Amino acid sequence: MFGTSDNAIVMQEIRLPRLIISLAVGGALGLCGAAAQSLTRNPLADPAIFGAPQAAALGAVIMLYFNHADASSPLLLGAAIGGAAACLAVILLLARKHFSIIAVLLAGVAVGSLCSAGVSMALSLSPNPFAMAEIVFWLMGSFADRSVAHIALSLPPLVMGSAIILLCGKSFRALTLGEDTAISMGYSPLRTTVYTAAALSMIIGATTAVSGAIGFVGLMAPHFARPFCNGDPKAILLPSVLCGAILTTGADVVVRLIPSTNEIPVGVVTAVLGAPFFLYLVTFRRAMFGSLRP
Amino acid sequence: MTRMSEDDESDNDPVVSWTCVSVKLGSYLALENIDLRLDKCDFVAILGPNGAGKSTLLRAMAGIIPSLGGAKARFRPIAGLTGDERKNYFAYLSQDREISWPMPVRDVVAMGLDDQPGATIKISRDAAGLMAEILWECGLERLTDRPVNSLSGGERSRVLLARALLSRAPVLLVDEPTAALDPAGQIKILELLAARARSGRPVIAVLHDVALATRFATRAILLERGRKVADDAPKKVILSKAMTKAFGIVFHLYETMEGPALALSKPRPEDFA
Repeated sequence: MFGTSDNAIVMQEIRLPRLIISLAVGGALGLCGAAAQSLTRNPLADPAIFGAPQAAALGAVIMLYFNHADASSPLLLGAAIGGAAACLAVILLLARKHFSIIAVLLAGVAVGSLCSAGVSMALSLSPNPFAMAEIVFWLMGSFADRSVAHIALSLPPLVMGSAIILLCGKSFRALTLGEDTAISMGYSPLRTTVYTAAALSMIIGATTAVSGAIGFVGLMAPHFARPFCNGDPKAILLPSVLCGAILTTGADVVVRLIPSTNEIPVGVVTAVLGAPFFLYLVTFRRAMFGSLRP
Repeated sequence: MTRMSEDDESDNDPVVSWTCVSVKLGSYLALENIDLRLDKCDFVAILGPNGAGKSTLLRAMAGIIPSLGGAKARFRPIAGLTGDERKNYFAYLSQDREISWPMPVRDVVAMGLDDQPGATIKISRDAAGLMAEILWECGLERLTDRPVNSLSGGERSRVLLARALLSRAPVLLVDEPTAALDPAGQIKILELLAARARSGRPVIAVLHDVALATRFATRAILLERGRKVADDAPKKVILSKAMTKAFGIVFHLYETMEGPALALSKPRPEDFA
């Protein structure tokens, strides 16, 4: 596409895949955030509240730990999606008896903590310090050294998950008025939850496998988009994709501009931006969230 | 003579009839064998003390929570209805006045239209006219662009009622439609519901204001601990012993020029006899 000069090879083999992956991962994470916030009707929700990224990381770390995979293997992707899906399935089964969003959230926090503990245990038991360092670095999230193979691997689950979430838009809008009203309008909160959980598994599994854990993009992107959409949970979905892609790619550019011997993981930049933003939301912006209860 | 098709209706047929509706919440039997027949011009008030099962009955009737027993809407069992079909029978106002996101009033009310047009989709001219009419009737015409989180409790309540009223469903089930409204607003909304019922689209409302129920409803049913203990004209129900027993208080109605006035007194032993 860019000829065969050195610059063209750098562009084609290094820069372009990195750009595409950061755009795709950021966009999908933004969409996940919008879906999680719409489903739980809580502006502080993030896919992480379901414990999915932690479970995906645990699945991937187990694969890495037993040397069954390197970062571009379909096995790793499968393990990460499987981890996220297992986590969400456990939560849904726990919450099935008395379906409520609160039960789903609390179960997600518990499962997420358990998976984080599992990752920490795998790291502390690792016999090989180099393998451990590699896992730690990967867990922090990065787009460095990604290739066309990573794109080919991660794009199908990202696209499929995103399509499912976009189809749930009307349900998300109906859920604005509460579960009872949504049911009376012909929507099924339970079905919407199951579909969203499946979509989140695919997206979180794929993004975790291809770029490690990149936090706070899902939380922030919908908030940047919301003022332009009158708060409408259906209208917010596509703008959240755009905001997520811009945020993540911007953070990746920052990472490359900071002079250092080792590249700072992009997950660190998004967390450094995201944590203060989260605190700002919690402390100052409660008034903009309608009738949300604490 | 050929058999009448199921869609043919005569004026004597109930719009909906519920038989032996029972609801179990966990191991607790919240409702037991409730029968209710809803005719074309009915405005039914559901009365009862706190915890009698009023909201549960409304949710069961709307098919929001599963219930035992049968319900037939124009000869079709309601249990077999899909979500979309149920939506075309019942419009429902929840007791919980939740609106999670700061959407403008116009967009929330527009959710009552079948195709749910949002800010980005054009609303058809007929629907826009109907919507403007309902916004005006509910006193919301000046608030259409306001985000719902900037509204008072009473205004928010009217927004959600307007959404339910905009639905084309023939049966309206409303849970405490006058809660949080000022006295003028209460009368206005109940007049609106009564007019809707008279036009042939029946209304079932959970009401706490007994005097207003007498004034506007055509029928009242009284629930006590999950059982229906009275189903009659509102005045008869309110003056009944069952009412005294359910609430532990005696209701007295006085006819005035402006409508019924209510007084309460402590029960004496003979009031229960």
